[in-house]
Amino acid sequence: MTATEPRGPTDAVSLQGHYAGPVTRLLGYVVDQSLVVALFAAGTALVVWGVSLVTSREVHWSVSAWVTAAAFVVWQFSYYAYPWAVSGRTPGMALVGIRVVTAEGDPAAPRHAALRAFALPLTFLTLGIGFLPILLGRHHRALHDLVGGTTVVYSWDARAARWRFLARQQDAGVAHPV
Amino acid sequence: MDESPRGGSREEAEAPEQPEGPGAGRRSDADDHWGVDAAIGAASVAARTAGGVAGAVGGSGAGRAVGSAARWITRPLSRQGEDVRARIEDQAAPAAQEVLRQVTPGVARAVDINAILSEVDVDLLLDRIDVNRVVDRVDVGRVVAKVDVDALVSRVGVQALIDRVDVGALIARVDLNGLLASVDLQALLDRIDLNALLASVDLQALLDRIDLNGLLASVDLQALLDRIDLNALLASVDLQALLDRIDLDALLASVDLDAVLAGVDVNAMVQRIDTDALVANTELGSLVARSTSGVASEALDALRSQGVGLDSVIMRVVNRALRRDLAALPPGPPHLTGPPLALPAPNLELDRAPEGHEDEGVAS
Repeated sequence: MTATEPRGPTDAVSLQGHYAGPVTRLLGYVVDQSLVVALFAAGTALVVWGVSLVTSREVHWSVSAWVTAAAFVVWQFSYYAYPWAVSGRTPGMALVGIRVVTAEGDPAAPRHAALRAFALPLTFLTLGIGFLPILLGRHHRALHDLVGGTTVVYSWDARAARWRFLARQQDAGVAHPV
Repeated sequence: MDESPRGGSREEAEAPEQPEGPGAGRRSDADDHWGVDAAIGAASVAARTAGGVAGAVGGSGAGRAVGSAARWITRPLSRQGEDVRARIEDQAAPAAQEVLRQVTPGVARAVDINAILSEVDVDLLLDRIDVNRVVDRVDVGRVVAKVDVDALVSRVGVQALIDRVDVGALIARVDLNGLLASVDLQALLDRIDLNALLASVDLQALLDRIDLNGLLASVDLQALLDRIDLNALLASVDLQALLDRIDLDALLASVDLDAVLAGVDVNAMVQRIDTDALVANTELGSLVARSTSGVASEALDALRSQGVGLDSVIMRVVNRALRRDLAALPPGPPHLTGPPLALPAPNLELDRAPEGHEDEGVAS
């Protein structure tokens, strides 16, 4: 992402394995965080509905806010740490085509995933300063990347996208210079 | 007496006194035998005078008559004298031989052969001999016929003779080019029965004595090949006829295709394929389109590509603001940005990724 400026799927092919940029990472995080909140809400609602169903009484979520916050933190930690440890990507990251790898480019181990997920809230506690290295750093690593020994790279199947793009062009009868 | 200037005695007699040399000896002999020499000289003069008178008298008719009468009168005396001469010849010869036998050793001892030979002018003697005439008179054939050549040759030390010959100098004196130019090689070869010659050669024994490895090691094959016009050689080959004689099925059956394919760098071969052109210009593109078409995939591709585009714009602005050298910036982690794009990296990613990571070939 240094000398090349992609303009579409055909140009993005050359960026696979390169450091992911801030827009893509932010987009992935937004999707993930939306899922985290939505799934947590759905989970609590499901629990309440289950309890109501079992007890035949109307139940309201009236537990302490601290407990709820702790449950949310645990849930968020699990949401991020487990996918990173297994496949290097959360659902949001998979949607935008990025993944977490070690600083050298190897697949992230569970240890890296856990440290990164633990340090992610700390980056927010720095009032966003911990995210600045994504924009200004030479290796585009945020604070939680530095703590976890990780980085984020483009990793969507650009080859298939490239073929799909060409196939669509051919199907539409558009002559595309290869 | 010879009185020529080269003669000797008078000249030597008149010559001044010399203390040494043969001339001094001769003058002494002349002084000692002057009486004998004078008597011989007188007899010689008388004999010549008598001869002249007898010739003059005998040539006349009267002389011839007197002669005939004298032979008739002295015939008895002649017969008696003849008998006496015969007896002398019979009896005196052994006696003379005996005398000579007894006298000869003493004479031989008395004679200084060396002194006599030293007096002989050999050069002058040889100059007077006509050698050619002497040789012409020799029957060389008879002389050679009497020689036992075998015995003569057997007495010759051939090896010593050869050792004394400077063969190199001998060969250097031979004009081999001229010699060979004068040889009719074709006629010579026509006379040789090469088949019979080769049939008598033990080729196996000959080959066993040859160090073929050493021989080939000394051959400059490159120079040899450089001299060969391979194009002309191949142009003369009937490749079709050659191929017709080859059993391709048997040839292919003997090929270990696994070993051949094991030596092929499939990745390098795949990289040489223009996959984009393949998809865009063949039915493969239609197959891909039918199998992957959908709004979701198209929207996803668009979303990702738009995200990448925005990233690129932002990073370009930031890098320009920070005055960074774009070529010096690392594009990605070192293990992912070595080889080029969009192709699977089997040696890197698949070997290291745990289960679940290889689902999307991470491009590196």
